[in-house]
Amino acid sequence: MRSVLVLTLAVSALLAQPQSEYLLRDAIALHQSGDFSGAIRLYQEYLNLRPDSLDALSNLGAALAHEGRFAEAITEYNRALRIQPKNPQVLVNLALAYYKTGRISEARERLESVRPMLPNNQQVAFLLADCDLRLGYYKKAIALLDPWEKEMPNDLGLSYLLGTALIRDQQGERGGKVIDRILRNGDSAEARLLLATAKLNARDIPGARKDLERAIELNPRLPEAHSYLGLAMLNVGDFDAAAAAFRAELQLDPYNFTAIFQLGTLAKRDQRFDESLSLFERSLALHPKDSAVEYQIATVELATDKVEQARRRLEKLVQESPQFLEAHVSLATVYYRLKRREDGDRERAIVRRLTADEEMKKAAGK
Amino acid sequence: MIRWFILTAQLAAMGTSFAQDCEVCHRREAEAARSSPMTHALQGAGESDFLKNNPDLGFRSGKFSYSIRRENNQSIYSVTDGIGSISAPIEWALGTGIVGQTYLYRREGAWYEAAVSFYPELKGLDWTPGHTARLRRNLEEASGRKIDVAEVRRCFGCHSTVAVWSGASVPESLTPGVQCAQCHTGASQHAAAVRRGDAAPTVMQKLAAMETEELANLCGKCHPSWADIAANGPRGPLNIRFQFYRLTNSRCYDSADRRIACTACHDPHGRLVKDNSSYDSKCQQCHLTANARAKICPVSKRDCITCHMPKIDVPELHYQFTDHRIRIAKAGDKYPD
Repeated sequence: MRSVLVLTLAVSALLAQPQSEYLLRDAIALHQSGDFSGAIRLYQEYLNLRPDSLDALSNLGAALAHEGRFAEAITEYNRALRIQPKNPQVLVNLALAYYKTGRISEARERLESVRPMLPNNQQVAFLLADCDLRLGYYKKAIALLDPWEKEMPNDLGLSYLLGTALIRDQQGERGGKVIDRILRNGDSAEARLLLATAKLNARDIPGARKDLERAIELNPRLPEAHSYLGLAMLNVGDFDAAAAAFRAELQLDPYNFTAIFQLGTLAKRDQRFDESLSLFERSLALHPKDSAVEYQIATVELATDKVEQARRRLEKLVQESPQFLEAHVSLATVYYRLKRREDGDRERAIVRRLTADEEMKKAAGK
Repeated sequence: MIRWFILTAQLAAMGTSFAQDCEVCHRREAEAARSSPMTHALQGAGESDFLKNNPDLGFRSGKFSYSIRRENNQSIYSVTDGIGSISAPIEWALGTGIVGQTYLYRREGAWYEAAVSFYPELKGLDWTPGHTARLRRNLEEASGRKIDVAEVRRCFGCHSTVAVWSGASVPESLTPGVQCAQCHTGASQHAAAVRRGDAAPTVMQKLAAMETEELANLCGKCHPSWADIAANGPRGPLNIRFQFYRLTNSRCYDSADRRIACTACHDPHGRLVKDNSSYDSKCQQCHLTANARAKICPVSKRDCITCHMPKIDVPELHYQFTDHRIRIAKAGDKYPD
């Protein structure tokens, strides 16, 4: 009886193989013809029969991503990587899916791992540089883009990325040259955004605002323009306009970290603490372990009398970032609230030292 | 017993003004509070002496001309660029006028802070703090700073007592100025309980017994605290206005010592004492005999604050502020942040 069952299974497997290959062929045909939902259905049917098919998993991920179903795409890409962990195409696609869902750190991690395999791939290099920019690793972005600039000095996209990294890294002189190069191609939204970023750095808020308004006029869908306008409006104390700008950015990119984070700080300012906490948690999901977000959460905890929670978070923060002045300030307040006077005095002394150091640095720089 | 009955009857007959309610029992504090600048931290435009006594104020900067003119019992704020103009009646005057007085008005349902304020030192108008460097590309921008509901609530939260809001941007009711209940939480319940003849469940917290840091937090709800300024600035001479930040950075500040608390020198119920020598006894609470922590001044035993708490001029505010960072100040010293 047992031998009959084994034989039956073997025969059905033999019969299933060609039939399943038809399924895969049809799925690919639908995929290529643009019928993504049909392709997804067939890939899934095929994977029920052949769960370890790298091609089917990878293609299914791509079709899902095309349909905007990034979370499911990420699952399929990760399944594919369990079969072949160093498959460069799957790694790039996974990075793209992470990038699209605002999971920039994870996207960056995958791109970094794929870079040695595809050293001349422009898409990988530029996307990695963009991730670096979004995460604030400006020097890394510059180092990555420098060799490409020599090869493609007239590429506007590259100039824009490099210019942004240079301006945000306070390398005004070199950044200015890149902006000039962009401006030689005529007025553009991208150039205006870059100019505005440089002006924001130089605290020329009215100038930045003017350029940002012009950038949005030229291209209302330019990524980050609304976010930067929000920052400019925050600087002039127009909080309603700032909130409106951040919300406009989220319409274009629901994963924009700056917009989510700043809306959180505005909600905190209005004492809408539950809303601010939820926005900060969203920010933390985008930038895990971001100390600015952790600090904001601690200040909400302090404002809502969760003093012990605030203490734990702030102690961890100052341990990880001993130079974080605001965290020491809040920790001093927490200690005084908890009647731990000596600890409060110690934190206050640290704040004084950090402030004095900062002043000395400023004086030395003048 | 008879006295208690009379007291309860007096309170029952009172309105809702906290100072009046409280005065029945706390006469000294209430009387002193009447002349305290904090009590007059907010005035309707009709009540502002500056506006009443200066019926035609003007200020000009570039192409923009500003005026505040008294018409009947109203003060009309106007800005013109020679082509168009924006006008609105001033609704509220913020500030007691020791340093200056700033004005709030409404246009199309939104609140605005007027671009110019009154400065007694000038006997006239100049830019409101923070407006000097503002962008003024058009009349709208030149007229003032639009302030959102959260900020309006904060303005009234400190300059008035128990402002009641019902979701709108205009308070349903408020008591102008800093009245008893602003600092003494639960004062209204306490007064009501006394009226009923049963004050026991509403015994008030004795603020005088607060520790230095607790008191600083209480005052810091409106006068920016050390933490506010340490974290957010401003750095440099503009932080002279933030007394608690300056005081906390003094060498002699001790968070455990109530002789350095705000109320050690200032009576929150009364006027600001301007006689320098009157503060000598406060300094001598510590600096009377030499000890491990306090030295004796070799120069003088009088007018301590004239040297150790120098006046610092803030040109933008047309006022000389007393530096609460207690120190040995020498001529030509850099401003200690």
